[in-house]
Amino acid sequence: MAELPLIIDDRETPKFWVNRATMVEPGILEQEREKIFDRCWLYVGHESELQNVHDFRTRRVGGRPVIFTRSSEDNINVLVNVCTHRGMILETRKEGNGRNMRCFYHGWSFNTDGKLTSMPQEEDYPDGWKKSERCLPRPPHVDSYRGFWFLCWDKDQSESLFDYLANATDYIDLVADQSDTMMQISGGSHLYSMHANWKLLAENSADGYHAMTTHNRYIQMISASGADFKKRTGGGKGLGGGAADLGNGHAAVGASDHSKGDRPAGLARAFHSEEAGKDYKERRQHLAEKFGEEWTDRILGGRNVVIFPNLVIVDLGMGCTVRTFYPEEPGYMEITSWELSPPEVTDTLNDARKSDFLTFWGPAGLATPDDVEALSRCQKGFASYKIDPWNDLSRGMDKEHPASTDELQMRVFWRKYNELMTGEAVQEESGVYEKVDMIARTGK
Amino acid sequence: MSTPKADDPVAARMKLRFEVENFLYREADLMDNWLLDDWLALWTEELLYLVPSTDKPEGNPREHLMFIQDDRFLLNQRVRSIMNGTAWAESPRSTLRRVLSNVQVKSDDDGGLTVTSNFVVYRSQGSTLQVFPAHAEYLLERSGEANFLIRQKRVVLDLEELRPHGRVAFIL
Repeated sequence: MAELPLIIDDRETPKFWVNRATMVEPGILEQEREKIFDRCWLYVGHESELQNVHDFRTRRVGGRPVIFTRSSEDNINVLVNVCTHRGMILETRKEGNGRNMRCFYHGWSFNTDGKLTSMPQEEDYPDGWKKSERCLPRPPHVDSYRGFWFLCWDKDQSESLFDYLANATDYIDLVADQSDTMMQISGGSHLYSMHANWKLLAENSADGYHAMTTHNRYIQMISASGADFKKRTGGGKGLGGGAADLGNGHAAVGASDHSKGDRPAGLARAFHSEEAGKDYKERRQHLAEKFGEEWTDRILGGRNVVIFPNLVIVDLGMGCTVRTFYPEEPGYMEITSWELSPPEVTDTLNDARKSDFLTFWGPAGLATPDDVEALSRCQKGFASYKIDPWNDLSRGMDKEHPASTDELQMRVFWRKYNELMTGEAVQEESGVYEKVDMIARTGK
Repeated sequence: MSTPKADDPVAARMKLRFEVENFLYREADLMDNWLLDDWLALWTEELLYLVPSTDKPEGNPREHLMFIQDDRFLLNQRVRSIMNGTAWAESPRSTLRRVLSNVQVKSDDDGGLTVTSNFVVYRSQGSTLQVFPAHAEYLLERSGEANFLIRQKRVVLDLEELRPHGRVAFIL
């Protein structure tokens, strides 16, 4: 562990500093695996990825291989994707559909409930040896909230997923309520990476401050498209909106859209056609009838939500991305991003969403590659961490209502991080959640 | 252009492929040398530039999450930001070299030509070298003698994940 504290949370000055040693030291990553990824609820996948019985997806969650699958009884299961015989990875396809998964090494077969169903020459096992004791292991805790499935590797975890998510459920509701059936992950995902510490992406994913500079080329594109960028983003000073501490290390930045307009607020280019405007207004009306104006204004606003430690939902009205990431090394993370959308929207709106999604997000978009570059350059800069060990996240610390361009959302993440790593209790910046653009839900 | 009515059909096909290859080589040179305004001039006014996600190479923009689905406006903007230095992921610009091969004219009729090619881009920046193997399918329109314009280009990366590359901010 680094000799200096991990964070300096000085309420007098005030200032908030983060130790760059946390970004580079292998010993710290080892502790993070133990104290964070082995203890927190971690995102596995979205229920819409498993449409049919026996559909499966394989992925790693918290570094461990799992199968995310729908069983013959229509249960969503998360199974450890490792043969119980000799430990070989069982299912090697990324996705598919199949009643049984067979390990090719010796031919042991398991079903989508994880039961060991057969193996060659079963009669040669001793009397008393039971197949039922060799089922695929499951994470100690698996649960979902509104289609988002999580696991927890800590058998001693006593906090339910619902309690763990704290006020982040409010923001998941804002996303999930956009479909009358269930929000849908599109086929195809962005499997990319950054040569940067994983915590930099947790910071970057809700960082309103970097938008005007790092994403200048995106802003240029939006301006060239004829969208009234300044009007829709608070005078061009930033992306508008406030920041909220959602509890448990989760945080969001976001804003409502009270314009009642015919296209999403702010960052949308593909919604300009008359037809898209008409479809958008109809959709707005449908949501307003169902949820009331206030909740609809919030739905059609925008939000960047970071759910501790490594789930990000960015929902900017015109498109929604779900993103998770995991550190392979202190200076290298793998990232997976998906697109989430309401399946019932018209082709016109669907086309607009998919187009606008890619203008910003993805490893070939007009914004994400520049985040990849920025964070990788930070990581290179951290080579000097013993000369100046401190990152500064003090913005808005003296404000009653921090903005999305302040750094409350990062401080919330780092305080939780520090608590899990050192045992020092979190001291919240007072009363923030209640004060920021939080409108009570008006019913369904 | 009038398709050569050579007596020898093999010679006619060789000539056409030679012309197409020359066009694709010219395109490759412009991309490698960051002459992207000239590169934009190789396209028809209405255009579609597609790159599917690595895990959905058969993907289409209506159903799937792609990497790139640029129309004329977005491709212009993409190029503008690279050329004006605000695409930080390519500022300073990396050194690119692509090797282009297996050019095939799949069809040639009144609607234009369908052409496929394989290529590998080597991207060097500082001490890192990245390799991007890919194949492309073009819809080309004839434009004068022995020349073409690109109406649609679909580039499929022959990578299962964009790792450890992390991003593509140059032009594929």
